[in-house]
Amino acid sequence: MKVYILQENLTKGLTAVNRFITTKTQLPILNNILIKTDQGRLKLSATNLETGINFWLGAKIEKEGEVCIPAKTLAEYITSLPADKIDLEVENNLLKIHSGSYQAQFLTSPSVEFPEIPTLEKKPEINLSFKDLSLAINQVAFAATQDEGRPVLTGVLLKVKKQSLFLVATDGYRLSVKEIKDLKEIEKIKETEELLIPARALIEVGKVMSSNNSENNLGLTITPKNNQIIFSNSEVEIISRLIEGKFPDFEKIIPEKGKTKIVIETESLLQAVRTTSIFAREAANIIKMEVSDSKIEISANNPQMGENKIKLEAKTEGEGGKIAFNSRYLIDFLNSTKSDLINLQINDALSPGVFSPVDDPSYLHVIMPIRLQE
Amino acid sequence: MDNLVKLNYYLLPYFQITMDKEKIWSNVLENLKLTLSSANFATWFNRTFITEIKEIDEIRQITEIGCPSSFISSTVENRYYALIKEAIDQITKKKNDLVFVVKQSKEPLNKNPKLANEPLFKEIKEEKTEMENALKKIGLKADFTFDSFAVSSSNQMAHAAALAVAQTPAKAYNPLFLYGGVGVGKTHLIQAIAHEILKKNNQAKIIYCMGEEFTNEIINAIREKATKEFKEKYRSTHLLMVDDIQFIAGKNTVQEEFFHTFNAIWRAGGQIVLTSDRRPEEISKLEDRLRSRFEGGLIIDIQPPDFELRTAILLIKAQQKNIQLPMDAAQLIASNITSIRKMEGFLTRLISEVQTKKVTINPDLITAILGQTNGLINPQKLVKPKEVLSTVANFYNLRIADLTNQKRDKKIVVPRQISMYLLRNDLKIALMDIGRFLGDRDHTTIMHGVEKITRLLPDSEDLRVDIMGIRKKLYG
Repeated sequence: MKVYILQENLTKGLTAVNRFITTKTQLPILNNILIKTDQGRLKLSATNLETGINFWLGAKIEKEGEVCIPAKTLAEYITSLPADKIDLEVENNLLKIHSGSYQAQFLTSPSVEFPEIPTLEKKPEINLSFKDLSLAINQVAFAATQDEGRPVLTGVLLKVKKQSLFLVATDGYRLSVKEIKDLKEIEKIKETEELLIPARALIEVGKVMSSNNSENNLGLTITPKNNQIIFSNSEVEIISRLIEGKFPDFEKIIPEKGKTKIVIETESLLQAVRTTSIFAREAANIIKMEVSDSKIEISANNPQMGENKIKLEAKTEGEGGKIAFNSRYLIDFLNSTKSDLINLQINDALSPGVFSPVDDPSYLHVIMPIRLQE
Repeated sequence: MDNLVKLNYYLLPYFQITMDKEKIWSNVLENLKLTLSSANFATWFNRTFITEIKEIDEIRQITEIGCPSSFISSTVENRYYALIKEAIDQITKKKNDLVFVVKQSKEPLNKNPKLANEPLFKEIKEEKTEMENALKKIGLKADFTFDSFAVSSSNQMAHAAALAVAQTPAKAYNPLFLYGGVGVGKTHLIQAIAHEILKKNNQAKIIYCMGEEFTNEIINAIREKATKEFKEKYRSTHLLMVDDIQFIAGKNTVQEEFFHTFNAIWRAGGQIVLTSDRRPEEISKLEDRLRSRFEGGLIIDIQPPDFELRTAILLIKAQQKNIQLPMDAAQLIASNITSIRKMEGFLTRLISEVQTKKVTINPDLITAILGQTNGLINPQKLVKPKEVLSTVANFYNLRIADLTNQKRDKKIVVPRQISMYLLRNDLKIALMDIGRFLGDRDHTTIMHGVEKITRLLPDSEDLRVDIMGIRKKLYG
């Protein structure tokens, strides 16, 4: 194999592909990336056996070939090279790298050891706007649990209703729902079908694909036989397994109407919650909200430390009341919306609060309050 | 026994196959472990399993192997097909064709029921059990709520007052003193207050006790030298409810302790609710200072329920017990039984009757049971048949002889039938005897008379009033 490529291109590809390498693996070959010439381009592949990535880079190919290289060190080395043309050449089982006065040789592993990463053979089934999906991922995926003991909740649910795609995630304490409307091709997915994609994979889709933001089209291909989903654009394919299992009935969880409705500035609430949470840090992150006429008082106390209070102006409607939330959940939600104002609906101290951005009714976030001992 | 053997016979092949699948695969894995490096083995074969074995003929079968992701299935298939096939062939002694599918083993799926523990998925049921715990701790009945309290003119004042207290405890009426005879709903009302307050805050400190329990607790506390705990318990409560407070009358230490408890709670802004069977001033041997405290709040009496209210209560109770009670049946019962508790007893009886005999509720069934149960519930006072006659005669300004002779004037017939009804239902005298007693009438005449009154009762308010009046005179 002999290839010429620009340092910045290779760096971009390696950083993206590196996200799919886990350090936890027992099998050394999985710490490697596969570099392969592929129809005039250079293909980088990596996998953690749950998700995988194929990343194509523009390069000048002189001699075809493929090679496996430890991902971490290669990426570190290439990143630290000056922005210039890089020559890659494989000789025996060595990868020789030349760039200006820099020269290196990497030991390679046999590429036959590398697991086969599926790739799209035809055009993607469904085309989405990447911008829409990426926004939805940012608003939903964080609500999924990290706890592998509950596999179903580590996933983000994709569900189709008419021409809308719903993304849902929950960890049992909070729930995020986002609707993406007017997708014509989405009807190819049956309404009864529930696709559960690992949240981590989806987050990577958002990150990797936004880093090469040259295009807005995102292809979606589901292969039920292999139980996998492929996200693709012209440069990247991300392949993820689907989680098997029954996602909880999220529609039942969302309270219908709140007795008290509040409209408040996102930024000032975020600021208040952040400040208040300093006192809540040692006390399970509990911050209290007391809603009264046109006011919300946010407070936290810690018996060892003291307490603090912030009064915020807000538009309120209804009888008001007290409720307590985990500040981390509030901050997560408030960071996920760009809207200036948010709606909050609460019923009583024990029923979930429903949050949504004022200018984006397609996004809904539900947080379970913390029960306080009076 | 035969069935069991049969069942085993049918299930046996199934068990064999399922057990075999797991057994075969674990043997295969043991086999592979020997040839593969441990890293390779752990990476590729962890969470793989045989999903299905299809027999084609005696020597060949298709074995389907499940892998957790497509990366794994393709690698395993490409790299280890021969190894696996060899191992399976050896173990099953057949020629296997291998098929690889992506399937997650059932193990993690079984963990899904755990979801129920997450607060978001806990349904409102959970809240209810917490409520139930709170109720249990205090000793309240779960179905004594405002929702299940029927209101009519006889108790609407009391209901309104109780509701006000529940909504703004310690502000509306403090203390609230409810009095009335047995079975008028005092206990229901005050428990409903506690219910309502608990609904808003299930941590609220509430004490509900009977006057007698209060007495016993003091005595125990004194005996065990734990009066301090007793005082702390009672004086720190937000809502103190004492049912049948009249029981503490005449007990000096108890009254004194209650006096101080009362003051402590009142001063701390707690609510006090009391019930009694009579007005405070009518409770004899009640200390004056307590009496004046009681009189300082709102005193409301609850009258015995009238016919309409009884019917309503009956319908509510029937609904709670999940039975369909038709209106006419409810009216029939309410008109023949005046006490709410008796009504409840009757309803229980009716339900068991309906369930065991698999019949539907209809007026005939009710009349039949009425005849039996009314006898079981003895009238308070022993009354002789003759007294019944004289009371009925007196009530309608007749002579006793009018009731026993053969005349059939309209003004005599109804009182005569009322006598039959009372003799039969209240005194439980045999039909034949009643016939003989009322001037040698046939027992079928008596039966007809009793039935006629029973049937008339739901529709005729006059008749109900009359019978109530007669009963009052008879039993006091």
